[in-house]
Amino acid sequence: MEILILAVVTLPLLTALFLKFANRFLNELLTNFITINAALLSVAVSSFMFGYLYLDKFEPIKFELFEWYPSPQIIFEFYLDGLSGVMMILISGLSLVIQLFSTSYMSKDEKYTKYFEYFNFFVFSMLLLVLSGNFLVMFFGWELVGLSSYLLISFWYEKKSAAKAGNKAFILNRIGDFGFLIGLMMILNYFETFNFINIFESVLIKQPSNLDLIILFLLLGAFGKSAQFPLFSWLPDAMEGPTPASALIHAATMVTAGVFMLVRVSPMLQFSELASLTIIGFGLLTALIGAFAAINQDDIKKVLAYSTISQLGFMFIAIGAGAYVAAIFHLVTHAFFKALLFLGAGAVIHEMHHEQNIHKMGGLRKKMPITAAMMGIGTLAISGIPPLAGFWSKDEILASVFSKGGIYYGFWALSLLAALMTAFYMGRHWLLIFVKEPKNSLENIHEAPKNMTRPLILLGISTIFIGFINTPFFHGLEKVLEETLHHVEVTHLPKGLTLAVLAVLSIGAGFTGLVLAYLIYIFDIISYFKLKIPFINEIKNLSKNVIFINDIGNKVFVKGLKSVSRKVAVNVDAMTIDGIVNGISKYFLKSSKQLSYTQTGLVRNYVVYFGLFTLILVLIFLISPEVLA
Amino acid sequence: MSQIAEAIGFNLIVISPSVTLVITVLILLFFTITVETSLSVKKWITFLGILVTVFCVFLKFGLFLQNGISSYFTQKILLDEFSLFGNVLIAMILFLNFLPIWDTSSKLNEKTSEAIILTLMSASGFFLMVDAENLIMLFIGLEIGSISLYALAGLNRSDKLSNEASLKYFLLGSLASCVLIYGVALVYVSYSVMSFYDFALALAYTGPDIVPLTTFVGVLFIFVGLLFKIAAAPFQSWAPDVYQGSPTGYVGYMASIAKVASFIVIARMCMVSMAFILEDFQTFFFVVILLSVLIGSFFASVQSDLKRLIAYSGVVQSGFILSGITSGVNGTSASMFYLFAYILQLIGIFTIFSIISGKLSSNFEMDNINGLIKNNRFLGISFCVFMFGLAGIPLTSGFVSKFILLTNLWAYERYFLVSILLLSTVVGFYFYLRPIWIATIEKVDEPVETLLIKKSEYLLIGSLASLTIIFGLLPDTLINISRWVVQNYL
Repeated sequence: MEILILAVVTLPLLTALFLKFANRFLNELLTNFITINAALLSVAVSSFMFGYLYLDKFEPIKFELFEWYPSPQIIFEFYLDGLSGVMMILISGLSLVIQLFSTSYMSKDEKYTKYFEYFNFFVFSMLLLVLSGNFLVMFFGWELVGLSSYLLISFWYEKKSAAKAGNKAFILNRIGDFGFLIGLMMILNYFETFNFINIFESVLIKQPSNLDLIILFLLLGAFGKSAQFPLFSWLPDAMEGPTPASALIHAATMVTAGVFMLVRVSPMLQFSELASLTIIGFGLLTALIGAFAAINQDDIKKVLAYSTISQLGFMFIAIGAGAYVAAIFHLVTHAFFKALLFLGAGAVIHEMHHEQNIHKMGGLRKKMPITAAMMGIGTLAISGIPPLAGFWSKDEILASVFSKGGIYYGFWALSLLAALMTAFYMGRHWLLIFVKEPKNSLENIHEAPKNMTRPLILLGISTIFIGFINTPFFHGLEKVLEETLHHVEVTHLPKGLTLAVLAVLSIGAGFTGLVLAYLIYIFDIISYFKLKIPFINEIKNLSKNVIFINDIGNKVFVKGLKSVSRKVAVNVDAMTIDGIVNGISKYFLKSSKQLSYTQTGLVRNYVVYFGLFTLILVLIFLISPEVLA
Repeated sequence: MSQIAEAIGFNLIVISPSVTLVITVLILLFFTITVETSLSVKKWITFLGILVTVFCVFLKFGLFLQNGISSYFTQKILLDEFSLFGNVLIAMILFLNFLPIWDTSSKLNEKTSEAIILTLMSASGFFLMVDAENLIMLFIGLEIGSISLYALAGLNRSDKLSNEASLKYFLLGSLASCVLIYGVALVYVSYSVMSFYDFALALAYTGPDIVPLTTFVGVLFIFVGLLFKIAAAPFQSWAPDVYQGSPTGYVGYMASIAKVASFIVIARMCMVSMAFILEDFQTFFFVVILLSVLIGSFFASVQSDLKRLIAYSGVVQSGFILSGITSGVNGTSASMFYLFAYILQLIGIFTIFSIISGKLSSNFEMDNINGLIKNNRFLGISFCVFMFGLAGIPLTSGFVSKFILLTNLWAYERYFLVSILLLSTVVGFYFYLRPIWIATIEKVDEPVETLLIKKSEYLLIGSLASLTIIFGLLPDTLINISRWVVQNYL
């Protein structure tokens, strides 16, 4: 039984390797055959594992591969419990659906096989991450996810922006990993092990004094991977990648790695008040900034990117409020409806011949009815309209925040505002694409091919029903995660009337947002009543160019480092080394006179450096023997 | 006679690697001067000599099992875990570099045996250096080794850059040697001792509080001399020029062997001789590590020449290794692991360079590897593996070594240092990713011709690349070895 975990993890890797080495013998059809069948097998095996887990009352399954490090002992191990089971099903299921979609979207691309190779490699790293049994394996998965997403984002590297976006994502993720690594070191130092179970058991008995610091460093890693403020500017840029890849990476899996990791460490997290407040604070900020930025974007995918950032903020709010089940619940529902939206956007882009500006679309609902309907379902779901998926999970988050009381009432109000904004920008998104009177003629546009619409329908149906896995009447997901969160204090929903009122309020927010979007963008209420809203242009500009705010991370870390190192190095290098080298090589053999001259110059320089630095070091040594240490 | 031999601790086995190399050199010289012999005969002689050297290192292990830590030749030669580890590393470097060195030398026409002789002589010198218990012995070993390297750098006389590199290396190297021998003199002035162990005893005897200033300055000068050899900042200026100018086939050997020997000596000094006063040198080392990491990272990110880039990356790596060695026992063991893993990657990278650019060439611009993955898939993938290893990406030995090292440093509560080193790995991704990008992904304008390489080169590069991966997946053997090296000082 245990060995099947290994099978689940390695199957995508083997597929990727096979595609790599058999590259030249494969045409599109063969590639499809291999990758889809492998994905089907992977879904079958993981469903089987999940069923087994269910019958076994979610008793965790462990599998140790080999010893990686002697003492303190670190084993390369896997661990399957309710939490990783949910993620496993989610990843393998969505990867199948999205690969089906990709077969049509990517067809006739030069690097067709290569795309699926990277795709499978990404699925492998993500499965490694979620099925890891200790922090080290998790870190391996974490890094490989970064690497493979880099490959997918810059898949069309001929475009300079794609290459740049890949670099940016990679570097900003490295900043997060830097924090994650420090956190890991502190954990290893205190607990002398990386094993999740051992660590969580010992943390229950006695908490380390620097627990806050450990969690905060881990949090930095989660912020990087899950695109939270201030490390989120890579996600909108990452839309340069192929759209189906975006659906997998930037909706369902990679960006949720941070959420997954925080829920995984929830036995530690519950003891750190400071970390919880930080998480909820940054989550709120991200949810609001993301939603605000999404309001005035023109690019069909950028809206979805900012929307993802905002929804990830919701998940962080849930974690900060201690509602871990709600966080995972929202992760699952979001994976479905956001994948649906991304794939729908992909279908639109495909039919619009790679036109991505939503102002140039409009009226597409007559031409692409299935896509329009499915994206409509996604839009309603993300806006929180019952009984679609997004309603249940978002409402659960809001209610949990509310039930904490005190300052959390304020947090709840702000989250509600973010929910309203969500409904607004998603309504605008859908209306502008499908309803608004088109400006250009849409004669050549028709419905997407069947291979694209079928996955859409599949996802649309799931989006309607997936919310029922965890309602106030049926606590399915809570039961699944019960063993994982056994010793964790989980915030529960308020009872009775309060819950009903809260639900009505959040439905109200959703409706208000949608109606507002309709009034403003279709009915054009502003010009109809000649309303004058103060600062409307400023707000529009700010929303569109929120990139200025979110570029802080980029400016400081990526550009700053680059320019400083460039300036320093270019100046110094040009003055001393390159100049001399060039000078030497130019004149070296011309005449003995010149030779001796330049040589003296060179050696004088270097010798002076040498002597000077030796002297300085002696001085440093003499002045401050034990200052820095 | 045998009593005298016993009294001075005469033992041929302990110096057998050097002796074997010198004998091989003499045989080669004989054939070069007197009888006309074909190159292949010389090649076999050299290869046999190297194999016997490797065997001699095994013999030393037998001696160690029998005698334990012991000194020979009236406290000139030492046999301990460090010297054995150093011997293994140097023998390994010699063995692994045989192929690129021979191929490079055979392109030098009449100077082939000259080059081989220089290589073997330098290895024999470095063997003596890691074995040295006596400071004078250390100096002699270092000089034998280095002088051969100076000549090796300038062997390609028709290349201006090669000449320049050799001259530069020679002038600056001799300056460093001056500083080093001056330091030895100062140490001798203070305590009238030359042996590492006697020095430690003398320090323990007087106590750390009343150590004379001359000792401190002397030790500091010795360190400066050694830091020059490992190209730690601020004494790094020669490395890029020399790497760039020297014939590419030799650089892997030159770079790795001097580093290994110097690091072993530094480690032994820190662990044995100066254990009592190491605390006083923390600031000094801190500055050196900081400068190495900063200067190395900054300069590496603007290089357009790949050999210069690797040189600056070597400066960073030196900073890493140094930070472990100067922190304590566990740090030293981590550094030994690091050293081992780094050497393998370094040799692999330069072997690939020498295949691509031709053995004798000096400049190696970034464009040369454009489309490498299309020219030769095997070389391209191995190149990526080595670069990933240097950058420290998980599942390569580079990650393991950085991870162990930084974890140990964190345990020593050197938080600031750890953050600096970690940040430098972030910057490192810039300059390591760029060549990978160019080699694999960037578009190639003109049609490429397939690179043909020999079977033996396949074997060499393949085994080095797989070792880089294997030590990343299953590092525990190497970790145990690196712990064994420092077991006495725990």
